[in-house]
Amino acid sequence: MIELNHVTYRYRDDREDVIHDVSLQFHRSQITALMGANGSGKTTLIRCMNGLLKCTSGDVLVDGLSVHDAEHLIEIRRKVGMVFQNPDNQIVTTTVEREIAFGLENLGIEPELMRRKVAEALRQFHLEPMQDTAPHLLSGGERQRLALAAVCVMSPDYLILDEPTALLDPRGRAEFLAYISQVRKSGTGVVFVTQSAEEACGCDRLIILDSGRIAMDGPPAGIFREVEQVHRLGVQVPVAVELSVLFGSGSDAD
Amino acid sequence: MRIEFENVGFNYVSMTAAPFTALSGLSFRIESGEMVAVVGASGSGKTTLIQHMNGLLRAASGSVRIGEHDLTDPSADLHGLRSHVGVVFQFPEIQLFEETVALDVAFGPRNLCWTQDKVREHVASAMDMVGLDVSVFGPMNPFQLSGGERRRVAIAGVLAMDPSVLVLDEPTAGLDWRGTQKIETILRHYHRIGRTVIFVSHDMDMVARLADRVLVLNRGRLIFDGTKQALFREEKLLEEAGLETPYLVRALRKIASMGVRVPEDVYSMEEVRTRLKIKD
Repeated sequence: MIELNHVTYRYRDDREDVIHDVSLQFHRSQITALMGANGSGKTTLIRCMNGLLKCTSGDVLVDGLSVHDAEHLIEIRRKVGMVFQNPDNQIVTTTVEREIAFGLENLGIEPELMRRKVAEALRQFHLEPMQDTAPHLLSGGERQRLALAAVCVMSPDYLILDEPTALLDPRGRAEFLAYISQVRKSGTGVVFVTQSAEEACGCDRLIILDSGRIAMDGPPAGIFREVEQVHRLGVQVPVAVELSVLFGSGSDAD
Repeated sequence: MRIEFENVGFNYVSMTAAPFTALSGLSFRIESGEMVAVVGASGSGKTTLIQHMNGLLRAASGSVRIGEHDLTDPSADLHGLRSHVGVVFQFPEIQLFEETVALDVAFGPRNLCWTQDKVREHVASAMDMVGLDVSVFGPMNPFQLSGGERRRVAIAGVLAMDPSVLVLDEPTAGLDWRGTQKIETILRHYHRIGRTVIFVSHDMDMVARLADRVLVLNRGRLIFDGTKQALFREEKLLEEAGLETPYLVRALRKIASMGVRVPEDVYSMEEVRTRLKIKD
């Protein structure tokens, strides 16, 4: 479980908190979508969740390990895999294959197992044809898949993803959703930021942030029923919900 | 300003990997004042294609003509071309570098050697077009702005050069709902004042809302060039290209299949609202 207890975060020199007194629990085998207007604190919040940013006050515990305890950070980072919004911020090597192997090499995994895992990840994320290509020659969507593959290959217990689908094409998006529901079955907890209400619909839980506070938290179907409130928070509702309101049926969307 | 691609091919060559054919046999023509979406799976060549529109990449085969600029000619006047064709790249806000918003937006026009007054006038009008008041935002540091505002500043920097052709690569990626709506308003406005707007997007609902015409790329080839109405009837082709029918179109079809009368050929919630009212 990732547990946030009264987490507050304020960037140095800022006068206001970006995250204000947030308490949340994220469980394994659960997919949570995180939505909210630009500037509502989504990216800051998830960066607090693996100790990349240390909360100004409050505490974050990953399976009981506090991010304030420096000796736990390596273990926390091993448990919590993170993919940034712009893939270029985390791609470090010169070929697709090396990029995927990079994290495993650092864990000192035996070569045979590593080769197997890398091959598996190349296949899973459809990166086989470009395994020897330099990452900067890939398209935006391909780089985003690569960044995801390089983190997922480490089999983290929790996956935290900042708008992992922003650059993906529709098929890539569908595959991403299928992938996270598969890792959820094997016990991974997933938290991802999205701007797409349709993507959020398929999740177990939806959290909407507003100015660094939790505005809504619950099953997506229930939240999207509150069309006006969701819109007020600067968040879109699924097209099907909007249509059902227009047609006056008020029925649930699927 | 007419854009003409004739049998264009392009390969990426690198030291470490086999050459990769990014575009092949691409032919189309875009007339002044069109609103065109370019769609296709990741790696289908969309970004490569638009980088040919201002000479950032030069075709390996075939020819590219933008107005009177023939880009097959190695000595083509790229500086002149780029004052007519403005390109907004993916995540353009990471390229903001000046100390203030006004200076950043003025960077392009200053390089066109315009008079100070003309630069100032165009900066103000570009800021106005993207919905940022120059007297409020002009003196601010770009880093004080939200992601959506920074994106609009980056777009203003291109609009300030008053290009006849505006080309944007995934202009709404990573923006929230309202930010997306604001970008769509900017594109609609620029189209309405008679300019050519060409944009790349993975968001098929946005394509449906904005574009008149859609180019579909698949593995570097143009597999469709026509109206959105025609495209969204081609379910097999969309599937082949790794694309989807817009959510709105699918939802309306589903409602229709349940025997409810729904308006046909509507592509935005606005249109649905208008049409439903007419029906009452």
